[in-house]
Amino acid sequence: MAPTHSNDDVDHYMGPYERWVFRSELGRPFSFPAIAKGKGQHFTALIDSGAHEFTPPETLSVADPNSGEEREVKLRYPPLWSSNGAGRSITPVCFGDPSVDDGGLAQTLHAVCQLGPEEMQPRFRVNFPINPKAWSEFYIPNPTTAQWPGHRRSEKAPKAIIAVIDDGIPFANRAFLDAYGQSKINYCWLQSAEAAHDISAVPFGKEFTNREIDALRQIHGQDEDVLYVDAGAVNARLPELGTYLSRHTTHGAHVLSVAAGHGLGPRQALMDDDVHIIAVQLPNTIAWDTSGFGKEMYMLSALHYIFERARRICESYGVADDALPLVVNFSYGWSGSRHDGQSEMETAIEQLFTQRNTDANGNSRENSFLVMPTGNTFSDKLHARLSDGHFVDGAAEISWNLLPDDRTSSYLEIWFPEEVADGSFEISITPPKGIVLDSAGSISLTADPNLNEGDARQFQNLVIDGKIVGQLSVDKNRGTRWRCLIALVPTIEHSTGSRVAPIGRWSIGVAKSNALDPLPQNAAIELWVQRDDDPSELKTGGQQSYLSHALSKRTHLNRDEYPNELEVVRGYGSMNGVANSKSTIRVAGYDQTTGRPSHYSSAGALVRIGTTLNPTGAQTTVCAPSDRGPSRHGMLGGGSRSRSRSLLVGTSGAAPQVARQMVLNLAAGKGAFEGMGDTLQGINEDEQIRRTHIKARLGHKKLKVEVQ
Amino acid sequence: MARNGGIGGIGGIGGIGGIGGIGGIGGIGGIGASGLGGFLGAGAAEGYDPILTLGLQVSSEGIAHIAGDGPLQQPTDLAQGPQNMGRWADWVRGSLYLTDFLKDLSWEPSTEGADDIVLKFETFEVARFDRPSAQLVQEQTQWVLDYAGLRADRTAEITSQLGFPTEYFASILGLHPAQHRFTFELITATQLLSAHVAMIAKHALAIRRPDQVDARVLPMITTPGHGSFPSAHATEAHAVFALLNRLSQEWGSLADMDQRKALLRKLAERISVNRTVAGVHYPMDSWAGAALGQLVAELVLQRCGVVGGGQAFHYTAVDADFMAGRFEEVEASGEGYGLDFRCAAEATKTDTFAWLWDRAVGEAQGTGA
Repeated sequence: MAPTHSNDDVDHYMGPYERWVFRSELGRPFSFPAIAKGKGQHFTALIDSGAHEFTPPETLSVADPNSGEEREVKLRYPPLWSSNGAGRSITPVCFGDPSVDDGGLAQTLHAVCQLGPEEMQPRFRVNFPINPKAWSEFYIPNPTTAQWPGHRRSEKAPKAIIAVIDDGIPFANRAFLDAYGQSKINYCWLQSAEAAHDISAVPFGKEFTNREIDALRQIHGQDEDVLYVDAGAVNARLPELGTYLSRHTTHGAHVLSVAAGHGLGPRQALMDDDVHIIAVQLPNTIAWDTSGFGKEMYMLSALHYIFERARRICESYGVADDALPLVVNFSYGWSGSRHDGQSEMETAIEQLFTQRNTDANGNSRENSFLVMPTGNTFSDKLHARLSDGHFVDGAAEISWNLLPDDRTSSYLEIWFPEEVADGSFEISITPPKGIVLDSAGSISLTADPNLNEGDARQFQNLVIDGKIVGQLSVDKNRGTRWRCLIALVPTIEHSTGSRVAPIGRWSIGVAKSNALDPLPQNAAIELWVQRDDDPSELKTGGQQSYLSHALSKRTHLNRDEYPNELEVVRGYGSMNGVANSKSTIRVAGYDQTTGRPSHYSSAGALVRIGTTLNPTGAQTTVCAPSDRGPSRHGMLGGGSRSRSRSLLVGTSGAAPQVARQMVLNLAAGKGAFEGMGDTLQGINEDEQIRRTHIKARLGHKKLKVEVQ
Repeated sequence: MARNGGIGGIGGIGGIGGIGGIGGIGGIGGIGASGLGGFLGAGAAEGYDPILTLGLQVSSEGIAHIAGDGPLQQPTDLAQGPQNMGRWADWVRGSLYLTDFLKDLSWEPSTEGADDIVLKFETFEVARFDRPSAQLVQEQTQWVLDYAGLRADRTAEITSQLGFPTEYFASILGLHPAQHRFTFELITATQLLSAHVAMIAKHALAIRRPDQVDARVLPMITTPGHGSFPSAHATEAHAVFALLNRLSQEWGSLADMDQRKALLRKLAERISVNRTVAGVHYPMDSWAGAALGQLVAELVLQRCGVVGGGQAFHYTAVDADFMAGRFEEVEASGEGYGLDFRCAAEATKTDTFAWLWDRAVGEAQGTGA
């Protein structure tokens, strides 16, 4: 039977990243291996129901318009948490549908769009597929303790919970044992491990309670290599899991040890037994995709899981109303996104933490925190801000520089202020000198009338010599803010004759449709290039593209000077694109010897209003050391095997130091930030501009730790 | 003229340089620069440089008259037997260990034209390897690709373990050349024998290296010029593990012997697996090498006059990853993962090895020594 939906039909249901990553004639061959290699049957997605009350259904009835036949697609939800009846705008969901090829997927997505009342029409974002081996055979969404015993009560009752979401979690490491030799990790969910073959309380992957971790340690004695293989935590044949945990250290090993582990040396503190642990391991190769695409369902599921399991811990110790303090460390992010806290992920984060920070009587309390790094892109020229002064005759131009030997797609996001009217701007793209597009690349902030489901949007393919090298698109993200996304293929051939994007300076033009219209007051057009490096050596082969502008003269953004005016391409505003929720604790990194910001440590945005610089948008909250000294980069932590050491450079290593201090404070009944110093101490009151700079980079609190 | 002729004679003395030539045998063994050649060279008198030789010649002519013109002396006989072992240069003892062991080793297919090899020691069948099929080699190549992700992690280990990685074992037992001369000699002799036995099996079975099977293997070190199966590194490492385990038991002086034993076994695993990471060995090579290594150690131990517990075996490789814990289980249970342990291996005690063992036992290490 011929497919009733063609490839093009997927456009009807997909945003710009999904279209680029899922379509084989576009970015799919250069994508995450699970996508590049073939077609999945199990998909993840976020359903965005906005402000509407929405009860997600268990099954979908999907119609095949050609044959008229209907098939039933079962929807699965991870363990979901909510406080008493409070609403949820974003719901993580996954579904398995054997007939999903590109055509079938479009049918299923169509059915999702028909859910709920007509005025609602939920949006959704399709995420990474799930490996069929990770799909749980017998999933029980909300098991009773009779169906599934959950965690074992520990000798010492918890006074607070620390949770870590990361990759490569060494859950059997002795750094997480209590004084009785039992694991303090009450729950650990490996999202991409092979599913258990009996009943499971997670919809995909594998879960370990402290009972199972202790049993594994019992069976395997001291040999953690065999333990992880037998537990299914190392499996070379599952690409999303791989042998990552066989490495000397992993990002997650370092972060978990710093946040929740016993220290290694005599000067390092033991972690208290009354701080219990929950850990979630994202697919280890999640860093593959250099866009914001694909990971959010896993991330949001992790947060819900942590909240739900924290509730089980509370209940087992007789603590009502989710009252045990909870600190979640999530050392992850990307550089693109709205940066106004209104992305799907950030909206969901804010709802979850606001709800848990509200007690049963509706009073607010401070017992739940999300700690995230500000990011490591301050000096990378990934961010630019165009304000009215940069427009000449209604037009501005900026350059996007692509490097040779980049084996991954490159992405540039251009965000417009909420207030701008449809059709008020036109974006154009011109390849490096001497190369021309087959037809000029230009697009305006208007909707393609044929794409009538989901956000208003429009797509164009960029073609050179008959080969598609990119995609130019605009979409009104979540119905509220126009974004232009430009995606380009790698700059080096993947196989002989494959498509490549020319290296060099691509010119991006932004033109007002009416040259005389000013931008809304204090507003600007903001650009972010997506992160395209390979921090965990996953061999993605990414090379970081960057921005330049005729008026931006600096070769190094991180200099020890504090101008009152910033150039177009700037480090301020390079904040982690997932960390902009109001309540998120954003952690920057500083050099422990000099006390100055680490050169890469990303910062909140500064905008000149009148004669002074002022912070705007989400700002850095607190800082912790991320380098020991100018020539001693990084901080020490624990590696993947018990007693091994790890060195991590970046704000990812600063965040868990803060999370650790916060959870210890909360367990001791103190304020979360107690004991942290004042970042501006020692800087004169009259050095106002310098104070503004320092605060945007390092926040107002400073965690001091003993010199390593 | 006489003087010039004498200089020619010095050239003859240069024949001592032939020791270097024997070092060259190490090269033939392909065991590497830090192993056999160094061992054999140790304790040998250095070849004199021409100036020294000339100096000695001139000096002898200058002073010889002082010894007079009396009759020649008649020597007393050296007693023959193992007590002379200590008189010989290290490389000579090395040669004796090698010949003492290899004279009792023989090999042949199990039946005429069979695709396998049977190793016999004295008259007993001690090891049998079936030749892995081309399909199995294909399947095992996937593991080699899987392990490549750990290369960056293990570069220092891999490149410093190209020869005999004795220093890695020494670090676990706290060995030092000044205190453990004969322990090191026993280790080296065992490594040397392991390598020779492995080469026999490799030559007979002739299994292609991973980089000849798939273009994507791209090894990070030179692929050695011999067959893949079994792994000589795994053979040597597991032989050293079994040997040191038994020796330190004899010492009885290490309070934390259980932990050190676990570390020795883990190290043997790691050295073996590092070769898969590097892209030159399949996991089945490590299985075969581990089995062969424990056997060689047992034969050496019994030549020394002690029993270690090693076993004769038959290995029919299957597609599995190699891990020390799994190998240990199979050793305990008798079979699994294609490996079938049959019975205790046996060998006769010889003076040569017993002499060495006694000295190594005398080098007890640890707080109880």
